[in-house]
Amino acid sequence: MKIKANGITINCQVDGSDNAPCLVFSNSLATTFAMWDEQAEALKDSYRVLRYDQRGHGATDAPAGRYAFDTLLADALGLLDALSIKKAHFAGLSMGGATALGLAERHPDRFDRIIVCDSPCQSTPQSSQQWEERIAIAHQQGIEPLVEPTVARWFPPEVIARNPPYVDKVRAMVRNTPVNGFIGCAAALADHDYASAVASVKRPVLFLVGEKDAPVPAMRKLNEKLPGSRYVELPGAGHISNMDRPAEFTKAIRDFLSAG
Amino acid sequence: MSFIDANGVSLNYELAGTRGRSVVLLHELGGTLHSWDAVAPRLATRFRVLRYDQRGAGLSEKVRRDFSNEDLVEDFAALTGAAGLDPPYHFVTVAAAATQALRFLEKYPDRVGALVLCNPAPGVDPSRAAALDERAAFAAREGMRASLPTTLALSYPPHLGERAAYEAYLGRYLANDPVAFGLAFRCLARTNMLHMLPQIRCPAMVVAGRHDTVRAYAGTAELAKKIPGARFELLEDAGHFMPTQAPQALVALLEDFLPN
Repeated sequence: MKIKANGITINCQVDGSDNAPCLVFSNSLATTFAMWDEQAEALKDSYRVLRYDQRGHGATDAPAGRYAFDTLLADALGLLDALSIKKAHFAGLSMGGATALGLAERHPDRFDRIIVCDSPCQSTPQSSQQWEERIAIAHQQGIEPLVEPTVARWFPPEVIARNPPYVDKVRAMVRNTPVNGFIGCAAALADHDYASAVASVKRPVLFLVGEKDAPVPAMRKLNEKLPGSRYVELPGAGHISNMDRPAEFTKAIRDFLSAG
Repeated sequence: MSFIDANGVSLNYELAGTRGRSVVLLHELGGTLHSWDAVAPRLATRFRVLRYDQRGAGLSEKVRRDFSNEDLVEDFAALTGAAGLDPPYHFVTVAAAATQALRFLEKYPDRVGALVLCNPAPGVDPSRAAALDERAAFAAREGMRASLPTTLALSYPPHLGERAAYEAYLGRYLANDPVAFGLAFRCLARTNMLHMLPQIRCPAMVVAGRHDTVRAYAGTAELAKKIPGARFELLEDAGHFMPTQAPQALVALLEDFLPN
């Protein structure tokens, strides 16, 4: 369904009972909320699962220009307001993961438990440089030249060698990303930092990451800096850990949300 | 073929041409000195042309220990010393080999005459190290053929350039020692020479291939802007491997650009 929030139209979907506790899923760059299909199917019996397309992605509006990361936080908050959701669990992967941690830092009263997946939650001079190069590519050549390099970066070699259907699903999502949305969100990723203030988070946090994903060292540090947080590494999984290891990923979330 | 024991490893090299400035052709990761077969002979009519197999590649020694970009630069320094090739050097590099020319320039600024960086990969974000290490381990474990889907199959579309050149390239690629190939990936994962781009003071040319699927040309054009006064050229019919995909166009550019 389409919801007006924070000045744009946001595409989202709700699965599960309205009376169940709400669990929000926020997607990574160049994907859509369809990345969460398996989690939504598995968790809708216990939760009111709200998935949305981040600004510039899927069927959500893709305004031109460089987005600030705080705008992505405001989008999520605006969506909850529009749906009259007072409190929710929030899970996100990569860009969605940084969104999750940012929301936990800035709006602790609106969230219960936070799941940060496959994100270092901050840019570095080198990563900023790489995002600027990718922005230039998207600007001049469109998304196509970014598709295969992105897929090759996200999935472990074994997965690409097997080329299971879900890799093609991701390939299609990357390919269909609006150029405006890619550029806007890449600019946000080139300039964000929710890692420095991680120790200030007052909500329970699960850091969940694919064993073979690049942010593993950064996420171990995040976990060390935040007393009481949990850390789970999914064996064999790469960057899109929820699709590489859907059952284990879902179980990690279920265990975390139901823990006393 | 000639061999020199230099810097503790045996290096296979070929020195051609009897007069003119010293031109050094540095092959890409996964390549050999034969990557330059269609380029070196024509340059040798005007220059002294050195090409060699990097340690671990071609017929050079198949090392089993991690090496660094620094080691590769010292290999070069020792090889040129032993072979009697005098500075200043005009470097022509493909992809990751740019890191060696940039480090050499940093250490010995007065020994570099000019730089030609073809589809340069001047550095890797530290966050990517784990993924490249994973690729290295995969190659060592599963061999070159199993690595193709994440390497050459993505980077070298067979229709670019002459079919025979592709097939010869593929044959040489599969003949790589997979352990040494992996070590080169591990070396690249720990190398970043991006800081040198704004410090380049010699004549420099950056060449991109329109069909490069590894580093899209718009990103390379962006990178070229960081080098003061650099010339940028786009080869219409080349991809990532221009010495084999568009040798004649590359030679024409080199003959035009390289100071004699």
